[in-house]
Amino acid sequence: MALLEVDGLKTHFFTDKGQLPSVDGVSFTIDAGETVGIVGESGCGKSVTAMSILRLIPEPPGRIVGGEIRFEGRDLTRLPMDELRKVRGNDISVIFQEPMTSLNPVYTVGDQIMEAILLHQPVEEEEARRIALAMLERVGIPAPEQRIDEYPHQMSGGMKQRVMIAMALSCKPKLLIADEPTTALDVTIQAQILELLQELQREEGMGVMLITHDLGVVAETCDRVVVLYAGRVAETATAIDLFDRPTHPYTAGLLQSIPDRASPGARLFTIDGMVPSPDKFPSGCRFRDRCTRATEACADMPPLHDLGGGHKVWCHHPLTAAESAALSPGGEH
Amino acid sequence: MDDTKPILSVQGLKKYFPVHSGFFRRQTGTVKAVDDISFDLMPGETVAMVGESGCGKTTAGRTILRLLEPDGGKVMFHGVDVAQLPAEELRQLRRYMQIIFQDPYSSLNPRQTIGQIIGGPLLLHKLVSTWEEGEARAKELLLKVGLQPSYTSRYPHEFSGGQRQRIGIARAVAVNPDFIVCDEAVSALDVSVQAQVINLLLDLKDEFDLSYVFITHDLSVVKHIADKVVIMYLGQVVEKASREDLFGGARHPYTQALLSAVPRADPKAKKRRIVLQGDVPSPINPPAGCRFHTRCPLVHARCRAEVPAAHAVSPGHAVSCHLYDGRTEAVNLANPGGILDGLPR
Repeated sequence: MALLEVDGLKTHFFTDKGQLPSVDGVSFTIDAGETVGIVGESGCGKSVTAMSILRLIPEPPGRIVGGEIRFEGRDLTRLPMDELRKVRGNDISVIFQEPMTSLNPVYTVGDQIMEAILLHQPVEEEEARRIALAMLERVGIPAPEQRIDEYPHQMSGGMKQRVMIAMALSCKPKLLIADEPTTALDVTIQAQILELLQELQREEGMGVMLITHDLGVVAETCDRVVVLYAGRVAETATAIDLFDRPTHPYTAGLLQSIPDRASPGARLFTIDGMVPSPDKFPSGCRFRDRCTRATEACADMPPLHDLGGGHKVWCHHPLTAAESAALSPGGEH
Repeated sequence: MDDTKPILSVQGLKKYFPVHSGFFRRQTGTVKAVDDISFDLMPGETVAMVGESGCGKTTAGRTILRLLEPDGGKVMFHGVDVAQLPAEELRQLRRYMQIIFQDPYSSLNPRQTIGQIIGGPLLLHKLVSTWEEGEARAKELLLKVGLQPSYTSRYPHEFSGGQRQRIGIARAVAVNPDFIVCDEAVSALDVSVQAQVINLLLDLKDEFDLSYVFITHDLSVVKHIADKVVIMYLGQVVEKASREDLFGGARHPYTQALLSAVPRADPKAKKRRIVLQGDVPSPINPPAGCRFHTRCPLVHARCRAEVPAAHAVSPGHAVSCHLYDGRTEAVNLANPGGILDGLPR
């Protein structure tokens, strides 16, 4: 049994513009010890999917209108609130994109880490402080005895993100949801944080759901990848298969538009237009307005192509093996 | 235009900010945000200024345009020192030097229509004589940057980030400048939109004979568009080279670490990532000697005491690091061998 099974998740928002299908039938699984990347442009539903798992979607206007989210076999969408609270922060933790705004400025970082420990674990304050201190040391914060009593504004961005990680991991979660954990950081700090996450994951064997728009980060850290487009899964595969054989035109377009795959100074491949807002999603295949391969058939729901080995694509006109081979870095293109 | 002379020559540029603290707000320190940087921009060339947050690249860009007053050095533009120019002459010169900002949400006036935003500078520099003419010219420019001419009557809030960045670009090229400072112009955009805007910048460069000073932290973008690269660390230039030399044979330990830290979109690429320890130190009290010595894996006694000079390792390739005093071949940071043997640590 997978650690997390998201099965046909539908999270819709009920607004003046009508019912907006921001996440509309998304399915994927995460095993223990596995890192699964959730990829797509802004507005593809990555963060809404993550928030739905912990039921952090503001209600109204949002609501989970369909599907199941099974964590160790239990459906989180039907769990009573007091049961859910025991899962949040204990079995499943989140790291948000903005370390600057997700820490409370009026409490010391030690207080904030200890709060989660005291809430979920049967320990006294003294023991909680000891655990918090060990966690700060574990995530590589220098002089933790001094830092534990400091406030967030006294720390740099990389340091705050480490505090967020320490907080998220203090209860040894089975699943970590990391929503763009390194986007706001410089590359040398990003390298430190990604290294740290991988190390901690190896030791603790937790599953990681990594939300990112950076395909470089995906290639370096993920075992499997789920490509979202306009609230639906376009393609899912192992990281190696996805970069070797991108089969959905959207995946292929994303990979081709990365500058380091093109020869210097050449025009880059682009996907025309941008992700439509949820009130303007086209019927059938939602990518068809931007797709160069689209035909009339694309007005119907795209069929599933199963390429084996967990590589699945939802498209009327997927790329052939030869076409996608020409796109890979070692290929002719 | 004379293609052998630089269009812009930055020489020993400095920008310091005072730090005040305490009840009487006395000056208690100085941030040396830009501390003695030099480079040349040739006609039709793109120079990329690269570094992490706090390295002074944005301040450098603004000081070059004299949006900030420099505290030292020269900015020679067509043989005139912009740093010394009286206000009225500077205002006339501004037409030839433009800027595209990072944040497309805060760099467009929300109360002006797109026609006013693009047409305003034209009227100001007397390139058109009426608002109607400016509006007509704005329509042509919108078409050039891939937007509909009818957008002139709309307001900035009606557009997405990528579209706003196009509007900012149209405003910059409207007055027919010679060079444009692009300050993280594509950093806030999604990959597919980023590719669209990079293509647009490349097209406009050919069409309007532009030169770019491209400020960014994104090395994959640099590799794609830059002719020359200037790597900055804590307000100083650590390495300067052509694109080929920089990506093919980076010398400075910081440049090597920076290049190795960039995630590559290839899961099968085997590589040794050089992970630097610690954060960038505060620019208020930068480390003595080489400013990178607190994070450098190859630090030795000389680095802590002496500011490194720029050593030329090949024509057009200079590196400010003691390791290259009398050495031109690259020291591999991931596998330095016995490079520090015999040196006082």
